[in-house]
Amino acid sequence: MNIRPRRVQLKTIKIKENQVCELAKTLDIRLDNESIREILEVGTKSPYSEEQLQRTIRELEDRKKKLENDFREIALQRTELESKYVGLRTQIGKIFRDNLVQVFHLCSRTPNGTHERLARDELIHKYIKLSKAQ
Amino acid sequence: MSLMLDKHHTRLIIPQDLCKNVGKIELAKLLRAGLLSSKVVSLEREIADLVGKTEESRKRIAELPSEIKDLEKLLEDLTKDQKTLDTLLNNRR
Repeated sequence: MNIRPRRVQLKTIKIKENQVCELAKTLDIRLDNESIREILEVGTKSPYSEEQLQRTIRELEDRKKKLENDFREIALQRTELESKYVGLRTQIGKIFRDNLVQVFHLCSRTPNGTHERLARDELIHKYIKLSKAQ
Repeated sequence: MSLMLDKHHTRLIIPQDLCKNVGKIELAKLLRAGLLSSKVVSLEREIADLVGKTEESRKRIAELPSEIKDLEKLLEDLTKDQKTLDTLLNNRR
């Protein structure tokens, strides 16, 4: 079965001032076949006057600008902290792997002093535990 | 494209059912109100998005110093182990 889309009758309307078009351009809103119906519907439902809407837009744009500036500052702070965090993690990972290799070497050795033996056992125990936890 | 510009007029092609009982001036007025309202909605969304992103970053900024402190402590500990291991293995770097 062939289903044909319903034809919508279109009408050309000339508006003397370019206000609508200019406004759409200023607000960066596309006024095409799809959106025009929606925009008209929104306009019909809007309980506010043009002046009220213009004022609200100005206020919102000011607020947006302020928020953007705040966000830029905060994002910079966050980036600095995050890079410090990542740098530390990388350094820790490297030293941990090096230490683990050294601990394996240490397993085959028995130091003479009691203090050294205790330190050796402690380190072996610690790194076995840490590598299991990873 | 439904909208064309010439020197003095803006020509809009509008589905006929939408402009049955509405005059040109009224139609332009409704379009302007619609455009402005749409802009308000889009700005409100952008602001909500910015507020969300800023809050999320603030939260992370508050958490990071203590996480960094923990990592610094761990690094200090691992460096100490590194020195002890060097001594025990007589393998000074």
